[in-house]
Amino acid sequence: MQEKVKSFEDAYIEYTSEHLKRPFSVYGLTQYMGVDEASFYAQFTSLTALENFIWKSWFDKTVEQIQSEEVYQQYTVREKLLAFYFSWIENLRQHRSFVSAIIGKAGAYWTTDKAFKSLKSAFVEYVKNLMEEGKMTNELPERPVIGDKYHKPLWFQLLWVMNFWVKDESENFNNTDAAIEKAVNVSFDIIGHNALDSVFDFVKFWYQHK
Amino acid sequence: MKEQSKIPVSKVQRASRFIRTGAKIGGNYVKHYSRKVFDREVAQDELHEANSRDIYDALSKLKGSALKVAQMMSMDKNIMPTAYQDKFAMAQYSAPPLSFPLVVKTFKSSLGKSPEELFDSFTSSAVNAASIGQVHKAKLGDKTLAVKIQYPGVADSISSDLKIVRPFATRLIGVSEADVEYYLSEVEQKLLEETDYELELRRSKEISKACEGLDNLYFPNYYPGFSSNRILTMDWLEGAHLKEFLASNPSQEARDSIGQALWDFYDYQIHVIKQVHADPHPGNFMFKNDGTVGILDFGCVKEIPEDFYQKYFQLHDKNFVTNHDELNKLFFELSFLTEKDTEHEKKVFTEVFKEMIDLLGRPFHQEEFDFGDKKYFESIFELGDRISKMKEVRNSKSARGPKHGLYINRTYFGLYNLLHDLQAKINTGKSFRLANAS
Repeated sequence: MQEKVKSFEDAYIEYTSEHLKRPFSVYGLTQYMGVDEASFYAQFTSLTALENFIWKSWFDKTVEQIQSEEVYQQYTVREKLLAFYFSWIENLRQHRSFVSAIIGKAGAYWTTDKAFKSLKSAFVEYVKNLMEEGKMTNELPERPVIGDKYHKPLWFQLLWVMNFWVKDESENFNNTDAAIEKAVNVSFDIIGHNALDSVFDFVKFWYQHK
Repeated sequence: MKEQSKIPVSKVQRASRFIRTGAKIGGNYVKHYSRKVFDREVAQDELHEANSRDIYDALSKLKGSALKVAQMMSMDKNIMPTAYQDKFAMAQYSAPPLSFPLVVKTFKSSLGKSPEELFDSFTSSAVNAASIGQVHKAKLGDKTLAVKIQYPGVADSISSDLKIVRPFATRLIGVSEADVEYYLSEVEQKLLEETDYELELRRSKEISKACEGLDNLYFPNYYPGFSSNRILTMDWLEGAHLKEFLASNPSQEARDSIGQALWDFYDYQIHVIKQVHADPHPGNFMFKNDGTVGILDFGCVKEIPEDFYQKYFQLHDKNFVTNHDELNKLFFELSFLTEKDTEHEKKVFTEVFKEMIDLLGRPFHQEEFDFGDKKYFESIFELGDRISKMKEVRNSKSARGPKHGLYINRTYFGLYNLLHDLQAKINTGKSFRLANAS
């Protein structure tokens, strides 16, 4: 039974964790699994599509988990994002070797890696919803132009957090918890109500009445 | 709830914060001296005030051990000029809170369940922040509980924080480099112990059980089932904090009764169980108008080695101090004096330590002592001030006094200050030490 149900996802993760690099080709992966190459194309069009699928499924799992918690609905937007990061890292834990292989190998350019496309669009979607919610509850201020662009830096924040975690060797990854907490504090203090809004308001007033 | 806009993360960032403070203090001195040229009356106090504000501002941006050091310094009123104290005392109550999702995560990873699943109710924001953790209030059945949760990564940052504090402490409180080195290992060990909540739970149970028989004290129960290395659950203690208690105009009887309870509590710990709650800052006690006091937080416990105990507490004997040869011998054994000292140094330090011992030991030499006596405390501060200005002390290259004495002294200073704040009259004549010896 085991032989038969080993999915392409599992095999891909296993191969990458073991070899510390992605399979070179579909042929390589199917050879490793001992299956017919054609059966791969019945499910995925390419290895990149497969990896996209993997990241996206973890993302969906994470969001589903946190939303199923009762307390999540009472969280502020800041807390919701924190909850997401904590669960996300928690879920990645089972595949730490895979994640470090991908991030370690791809190095500096991994932020633009095509394999993260689905993850990125799902995350951006999620963050946009959070921002909308924040504006509705007045946790976040309405800001013209930049107000709709917060998802970009937040995407880099997610990548930064993952990168931090991959390098984190503290007990129980405690430092990553602290890093998440601090990173989210910084970003929400910038996108939340702060002195800049008053400054902007003041300058506008002054300009209009001079 | 005010959260900090940015918490310095890396060691470099923390260090640069200290350096900035250092530079600012330097600036304050420049300001001070340049004004002094024109106005000779500029009070030293004003300078201290400006310094302490800058130091506090810098320290309040840091969590963990740096804050702890701030607390320790705020305790030692004899070392710190008055203006520093109030600022530092603030550090004992406020630090930025942890987010609730992280609290939930900590629960799940160490106890397997979220706080909502474990308790009937649980406050989502912290009701109190301590230096290395924060306290939430929970309800379970008819019990109200206090749940303390530790900040992540505290243990990790202790060593690197202390490295930063070292030169800073040297400069700030005028301790010599040698002193700092000598005592820092003791401080580091104690700080690391404080991050181990399992140890704290064990000690809390032990000491509160051992002190059960003492009057007018109350302790919380501890719940191992709801505790882990980073979570500590205990009963919520009723009562008021020191400031609120004093503001409520308690009767002299209540003050005396609480003071006596605290005095006996410390006396019993030191002389009978030989381990002591070494953190007597006001935030660790709850006061009630009926004259009882609740004891919290056994994170910092000093175990007193027997050998040290025998030697050190001879200093409390009134007659001992007048016996020169014996005293001289003891001073060497306790490393108040060293063989490397010049004759002049030996003479100066012997005088200084004798004066200190005489002054600080005074409550032990009387049947009753009034800790409300302002003159007594002023003479302690005056002595501390005078000692720290002596050039022999400033230039001394060796650390003086036993390492173990560090926390014992801190405990007594804390206790004296508490009793002074309470303006309590204490029956100090019957020590458990004498009962021990006979």
